[in-house]
Amino acid sequence: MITQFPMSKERLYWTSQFIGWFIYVLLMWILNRLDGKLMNFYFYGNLVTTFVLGVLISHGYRELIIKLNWLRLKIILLIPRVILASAVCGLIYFFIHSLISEVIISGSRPNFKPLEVLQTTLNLSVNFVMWSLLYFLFHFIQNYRKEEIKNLQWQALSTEVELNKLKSQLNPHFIFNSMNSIRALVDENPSKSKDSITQLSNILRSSLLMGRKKVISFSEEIQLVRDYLSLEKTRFEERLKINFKIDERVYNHKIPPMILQTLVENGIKHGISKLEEGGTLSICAENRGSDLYISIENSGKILESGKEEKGFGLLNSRQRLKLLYSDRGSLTIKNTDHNSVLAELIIPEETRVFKINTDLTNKFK
Amino acid sequence: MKAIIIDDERLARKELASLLTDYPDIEVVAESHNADHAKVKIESLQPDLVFLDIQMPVKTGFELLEELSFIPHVIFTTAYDEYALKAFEVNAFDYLLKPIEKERLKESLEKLKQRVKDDEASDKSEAKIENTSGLSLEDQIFVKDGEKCWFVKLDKVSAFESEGNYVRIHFEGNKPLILKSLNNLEQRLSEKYFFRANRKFIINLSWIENMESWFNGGLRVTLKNEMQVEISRRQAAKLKEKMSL
Repeated sequence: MITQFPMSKERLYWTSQFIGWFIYVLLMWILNRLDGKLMNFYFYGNLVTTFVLGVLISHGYRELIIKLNWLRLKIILLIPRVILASAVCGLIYFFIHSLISEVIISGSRPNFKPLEVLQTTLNLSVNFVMWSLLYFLFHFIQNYRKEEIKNLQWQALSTEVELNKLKSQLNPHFIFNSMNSIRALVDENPSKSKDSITQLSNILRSSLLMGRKKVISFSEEIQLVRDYLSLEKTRFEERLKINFKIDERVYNHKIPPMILQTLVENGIKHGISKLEEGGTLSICAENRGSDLYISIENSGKILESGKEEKGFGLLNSRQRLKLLYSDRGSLTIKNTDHNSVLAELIIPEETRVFKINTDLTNKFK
Repeated sequence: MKAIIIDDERLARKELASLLTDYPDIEVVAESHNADHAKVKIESLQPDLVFLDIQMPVKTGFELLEELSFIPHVIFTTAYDEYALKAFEVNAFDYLLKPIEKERLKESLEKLKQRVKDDEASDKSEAKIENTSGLSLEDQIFVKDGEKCWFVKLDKVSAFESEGNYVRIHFEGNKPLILKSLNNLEQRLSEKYFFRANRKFIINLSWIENMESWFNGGLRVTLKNEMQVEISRRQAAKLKEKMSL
């Protein structure tokens, strides 16, 4: 959302120029009037000259700034340049102004005294320093705002990118092992091998589609998990036992895709597949207030040394919960006292609201 | 050729066994579903070849190899983690990706048969047919040091050096550490080829290039890789006796 100025930059510049110098001239008029000075033709001529010269010289100064690209300079480098340029502008102003006001308007011969020249030039230079101050201040503020907007957009974008990256981490080891089992099943049990191929297709399809969504319904996720588990059952045979205890009212609750799948996969990979005799995996889901509560319990044990191995999947899930629900969602995992690992997931009803510039997001896809 | 298939999944073993029916010269003498069972089978049946899955419950394929005192030819089978095999420094092994391609299996087996043939030829030329107890120069050991793995043929090893609870193996410019004691190793190595030089070293006799007298009637041995090992008077006498044969 880059804020567009109501007028073009060029128009804004000229308007500011005219208004700025007009106010300056107006102030001169008021001050002189309060001073009780004579408001004659000479005085008004002087004011008009001041206005025209001010606009023209500062415009020339601006051209110089643009040409030499001073807006890019660091403040330390900029200050001496601005002071020098202001002094030069003041000097030019002084000579032209004297020429016009004294020679043309009053008709007298110019009579420059060095001290007077220095004093007036300094006075005039202050005007140009003020002008520079306004000019650069305006640009700095504008740039700062642009940067800030860009930063916010980047933050939103990287959140989105991060979420996409964290989604859909189907374990390739599982896919190829399943393929291998299915190949053996073709001879042994052709109809079962057909079912397995369908299940594997479903899993691959969901993992591809789900990668594009922020949340999906629990029923979609549990279907994926069921397919996944029946394939693992084909691999592990009697070594894997499965229990489901799911309250029907939770099916429409939205959850981040693959979050349950990842935990179930972890339970098998780090728990049951490590056990000689295999074990049981139980999945339980119910409503708790407006939150969805899911627990996954599997035989096995989390080893302290095994942290690294487990780390990625869990860390990933936790990050996703945090991104989607701030601190309202949670994922805990622990050893129980009867030789099993219990993972508990709490998923709130509403996700955090995202404000993302869609144009920008599309650009990065 | 006798072969053993080691994989924790029944269907995976079945699939490989059915692929191997195309090769009548390879006889599957056993199947194992875990490392401990496999260890027993390997030591008792002394197969020429094992097909070894890396990811197994309790112990991985690598851990099994580390425990074996007799290392047959190994073909790893794995579903995905080729990267685990990248750990190997020397291409002294082969691997198959599951599901296994027929062509790829054929290649592997042919490569293996060629190697067995080469080994036999070199054995004969050096006339080392007699069976001695312990590991001889033709045997290989499996070494894993951190991320790196090697199959090391013992004729490549110049010396074993004790370092605390570990033994450093010197071969082909590598010096990996293994968690074994030098005494334990000494018992497993054939006396005919390896010699306990002192408390710190076991040296490979075929690597000795030069021997010179050293203090107190001892010897100093220079190996072909320019390593120098001092030998005490007592051991020096034994060595002289051995070498004069």
